[in-house]
Amino acid sequence: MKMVHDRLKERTLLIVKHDGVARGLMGDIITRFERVGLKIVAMELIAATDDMGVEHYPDSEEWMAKVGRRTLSEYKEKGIDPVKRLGTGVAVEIGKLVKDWLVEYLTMGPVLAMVFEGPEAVKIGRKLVGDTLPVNALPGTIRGDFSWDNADLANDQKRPFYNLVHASGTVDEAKEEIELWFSDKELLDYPVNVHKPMGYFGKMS
Amino acid sequence: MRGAKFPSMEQTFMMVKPDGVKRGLIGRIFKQLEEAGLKLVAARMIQASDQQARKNYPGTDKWLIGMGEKTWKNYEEDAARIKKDLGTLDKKEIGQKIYEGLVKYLTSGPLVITVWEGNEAVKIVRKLAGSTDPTTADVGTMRGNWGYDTPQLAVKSGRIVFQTLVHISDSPEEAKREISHWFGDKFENLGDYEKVDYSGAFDIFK
Repeated sequence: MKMVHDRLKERTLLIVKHDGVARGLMGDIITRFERVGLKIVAMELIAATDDMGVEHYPDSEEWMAKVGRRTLSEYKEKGIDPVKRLGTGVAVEIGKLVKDWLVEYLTMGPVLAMVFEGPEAVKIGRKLVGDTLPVNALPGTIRGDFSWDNADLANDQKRPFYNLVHASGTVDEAKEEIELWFSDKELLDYPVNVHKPMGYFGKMS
Repeated sequence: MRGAKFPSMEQTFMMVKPDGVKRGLIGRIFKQLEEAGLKLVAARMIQASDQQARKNYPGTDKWLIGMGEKTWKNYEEDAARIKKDLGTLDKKEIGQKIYEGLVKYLTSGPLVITVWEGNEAVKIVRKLAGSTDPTTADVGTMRGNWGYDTPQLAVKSGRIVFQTLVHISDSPEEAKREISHWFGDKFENLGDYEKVDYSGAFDIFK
């Protein structure tokens, strides 16, 4: 069981990717996180290098397979032969291709990287962001409200599919990602006004 | 807009102050500028040191006395009230108190420092921020929408300096000074991209 203090201090990394920056959606996205009560503890507009991009995404076969399966399931639904389209039907292989595209996406222009903090920040963040595939992302989520791209179209155009934001998938991923994007002293602490009525400091007096 | 160069293309400095950060208004403030077509070219969240906040202001005798004069004007030259609230009538002493208050305000929590680029950016961002007095700031401006603090309230609550949500550059020259003061050596213009609002603005006659 984690101590109350630690539970209040869970952190997640949120990146507004370059399509979100160029489209002028940073404010909308930040507001959704502020409104839900998460505290923004770091922010920087960054032009990520290739190395950062490669390090940002996991290298494990497990992750590659998960990412590959996402494309495979979209292809299956649409009756597309992955071998014809991508030269392979193996999830891990497709995952490697997708990682290259993701790195390209993360480095195509400046991105706004931020760290948000609060109880279950990772899960709350993922919920606000919505499903990875815009077509599955519900209205009211960031991707559901602001995007329409899909892997099938994007792959034909030899590009990654654009889904506006990156949000950490798990608490462990968040830790690694935050270390990559920010130094310890860039993570700030301060009281947020809404936290009192939200129970952050305990029972309201 | 990518690489577009002409005289009215400007950069301006905008800082969300601690009250804007604590009240959860960063997103709304960004949105106002994004919707006006402005392009974000640099941004960081920082905790200012005492020195960094102090050096943001001239701090000269002339400036201190000027701040004192402004306070006299805010009090409609009512010496009795000035004496009661601030404990002195001396303009420079009042200026010094305000100076300390400003430093305290800027270091009371994190700041979001940003640089925005666009046609007539300095004037446009000033207009969007609105007058610092929330009782007269236009509706639709940041301070008109979200501001409530006044010099009088600040003095009564012992802060002296009133909270204005954001700081906005007065002129392109001032913007340059503020960018270098707040970003320092770390400043890098990341504006080599096209903001969608400006799409076609430069090639419509090609």
